[in-house]
Amino acid sequence: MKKLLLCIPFLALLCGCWDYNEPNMQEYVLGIGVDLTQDDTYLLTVETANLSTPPESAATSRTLSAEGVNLFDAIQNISTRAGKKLYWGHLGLIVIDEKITGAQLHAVLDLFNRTREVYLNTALLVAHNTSAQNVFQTETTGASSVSEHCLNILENRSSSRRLQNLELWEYTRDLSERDCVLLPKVTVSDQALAIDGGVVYRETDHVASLTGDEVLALSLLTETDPGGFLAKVELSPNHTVSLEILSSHVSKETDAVTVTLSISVSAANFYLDLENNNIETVVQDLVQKKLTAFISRAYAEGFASLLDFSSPTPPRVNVFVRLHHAGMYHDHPEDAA
Amino acid sequence: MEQPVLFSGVLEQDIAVVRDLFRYDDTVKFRKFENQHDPTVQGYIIFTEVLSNTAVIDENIVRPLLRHHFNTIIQSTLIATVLHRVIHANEADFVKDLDDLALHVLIGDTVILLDGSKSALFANSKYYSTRSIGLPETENAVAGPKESFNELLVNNISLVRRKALNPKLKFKFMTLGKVSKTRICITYIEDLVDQTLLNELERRLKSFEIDSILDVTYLSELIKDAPNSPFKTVGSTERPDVVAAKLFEGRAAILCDGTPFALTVPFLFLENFQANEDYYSHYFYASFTRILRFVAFFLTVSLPSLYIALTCYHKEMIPKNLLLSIAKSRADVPFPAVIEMLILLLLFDLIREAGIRLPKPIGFTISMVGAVVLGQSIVTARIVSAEMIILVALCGITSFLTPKLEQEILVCRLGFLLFGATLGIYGYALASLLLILHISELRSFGVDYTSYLPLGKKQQAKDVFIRAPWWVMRMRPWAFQKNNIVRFRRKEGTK
Repeated sequence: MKKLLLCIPFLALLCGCWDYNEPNMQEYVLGIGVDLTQDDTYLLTVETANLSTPPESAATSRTLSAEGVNLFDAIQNISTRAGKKLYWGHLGLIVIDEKITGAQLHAVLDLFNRTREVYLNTALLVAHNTSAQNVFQTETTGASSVSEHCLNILENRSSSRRLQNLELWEYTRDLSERDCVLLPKVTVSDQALAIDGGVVYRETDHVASLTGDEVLALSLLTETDPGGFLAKVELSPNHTVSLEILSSHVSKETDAVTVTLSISVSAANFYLDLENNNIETVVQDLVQKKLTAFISRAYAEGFASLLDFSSPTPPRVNVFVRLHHAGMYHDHPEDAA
Repeated sequence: MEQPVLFSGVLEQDIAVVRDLFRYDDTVKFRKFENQHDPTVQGYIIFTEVLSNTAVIDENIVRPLLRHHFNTIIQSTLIATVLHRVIHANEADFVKDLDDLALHVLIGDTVILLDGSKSALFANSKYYSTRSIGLPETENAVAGPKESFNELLVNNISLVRRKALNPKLKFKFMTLGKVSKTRICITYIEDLVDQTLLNELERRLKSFEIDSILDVTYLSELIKDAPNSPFKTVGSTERPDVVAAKLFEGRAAILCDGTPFALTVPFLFLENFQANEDYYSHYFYASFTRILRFVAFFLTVSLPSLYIALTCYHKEMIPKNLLLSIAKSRADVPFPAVIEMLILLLLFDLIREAGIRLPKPIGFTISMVGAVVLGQSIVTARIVSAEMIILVALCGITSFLTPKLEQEILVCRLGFLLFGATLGIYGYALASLLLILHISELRSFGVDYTSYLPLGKKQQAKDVFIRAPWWVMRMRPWAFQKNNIVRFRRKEGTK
């Protein structure tokens, strides 16, 4: 019995759970934005949960900003401003200013990689043509915080395969396996957030900025999809053609996950080609042209390592066509089967 | 049979001795009688008015003594004649000594002293005012028998006897308590019980001297293994069917005069989760409710500790929205979470105890109003948070599913809470480990406290976490009975 009584204090000393903190005595960080000021100092914007709203209403958020000569200094200044210790365990989003590159970007991401409380599935975004502070100061509807709003968009985009999300751990992994990584970009226009396209980084250097379509093209190229894609071609009364690439894994339109790859083509050329080839071939060629152009750009600008193949010639993408023309519906033979 | 010699044979001297024994006790009555046919046959009857049936005394003892024709009187055999031929009583014999005389008077028998005899007789004339056999108060069941023990030992014995009309069911009496002289009865089934268990039980019962045994829990504390452990190693029940069921498994039971409860030994940990109703309802439903009890025990012991550990140490494990809701609700609460939890647990126990002690007509109303009003007011005044109230209420409700573990839950819950509040999840794990170690090392009358756990014995698993159908539970618990182990078999030729 005496031995047991002696052992218990030693057992207690072995653990590390001494950081008792009441849940209401901490500032919960939901998102963080990192900007670079003109003086080369860091401007940190932190979005935290606002707990001072009435209990019956949902929690909202508030933003705090502070500058610092380095990130630790900026964090310390924010803690002082908040009056409470910052808790990083529920950090969901990190927004980095596009201007931060090189060693500064490395410092930012390394800090969060090493912080014990931060979970490595935190999403990363790059603020394009705006500042991270501006992103967090945007009004959102339907979400309690900007971070939640952005994470919802990222999740929806991810499920529709429109965008390749990147989390902190994926960033670290991709850097070690490839030259380049693609971070999604966020812009603010008319007081509304938009997450579309991405920014390519080789290690910590900014290489290229891609539009939404280009990111889609990238995802098409890197998809290991042996079946090909289903394309929906719509001919409008004014003879413009829109081409929509659908997933090939499903044959029913209602279950299709749609991606849109806009291809401009003059109607005249389209109909001309139809005279000589079947519609699949025509659409195939259109898609191949688009992809080839994108790959050329990738090699030219140095982010070809994002593509999963080494040949400059893109793989043949099989496209099955469903044509909609003035109410007429042309079924692909496979659908009938 | 040799007659014990107690007195001188001179009536007035002898009765003076007895009067002195019961000096200042006005309930003990002395009535002199003289046979109407032979005045030399005279004596006294002594009885306690409040414990005896005076009609029986008049009809069966006084009237025969007064009217019997003693044709030839031989002084040396007079008392034997009276015993065997005169008094009408289903139980009558010689008194052994003065202590025995006092005991017989005080339990309601009538003692007879005869002039010229050095011995005394007693005859049964007991009559007790006692409450009738009622419904069980602590072990309610929707299905099954609804009898429960009462304070009269003979009634309790009769209830158990009716469950097993078998001469192998034995009842062995003992008297404990130097002052109270309380009668207890050890009951067992001869072919099923382990003789070692019986010997050990008797040894423990004889190993102490105590002034009084007012309740069977006195015995429980005095004979149990590990008396400092919060866990019971001696079972207690107020239902005769439960006692009978345990006897059929090879256990022994102790009934005590003046107590509507019986003790059963050995008692194992998993019996706390078994209820009599499990065996009176369909095995599927019974299994479900048994699993529910295990879950309830886990919840009631662990919830406070886990809540404090997660919210104060490991916030990253809680979903964000839930965490923010908890943080918001605690924003204006002045006490730390641990203190808040302790206050609420104490409050809950206060209300529960008050509800038990209050008279029935107002107890329920006051408990309900007190709980609702107090709960509402305490949240409105921001003394505690709403989540904490919900948690404590849940702990309280789940504790009612395992009423046998009421005391253990109190201790375990507090211990877990202190560990969790001090050391977080590690503390909870440590507390769990200590609890498991403690339970594992306990024994109950030579049987491991956890011996129901099926370690390589498939049959034992059929009445532990589930209640298997009767045709599957073919064997008795092996921990108690290794010889006569089969309790169910199908007859040959039947399906």
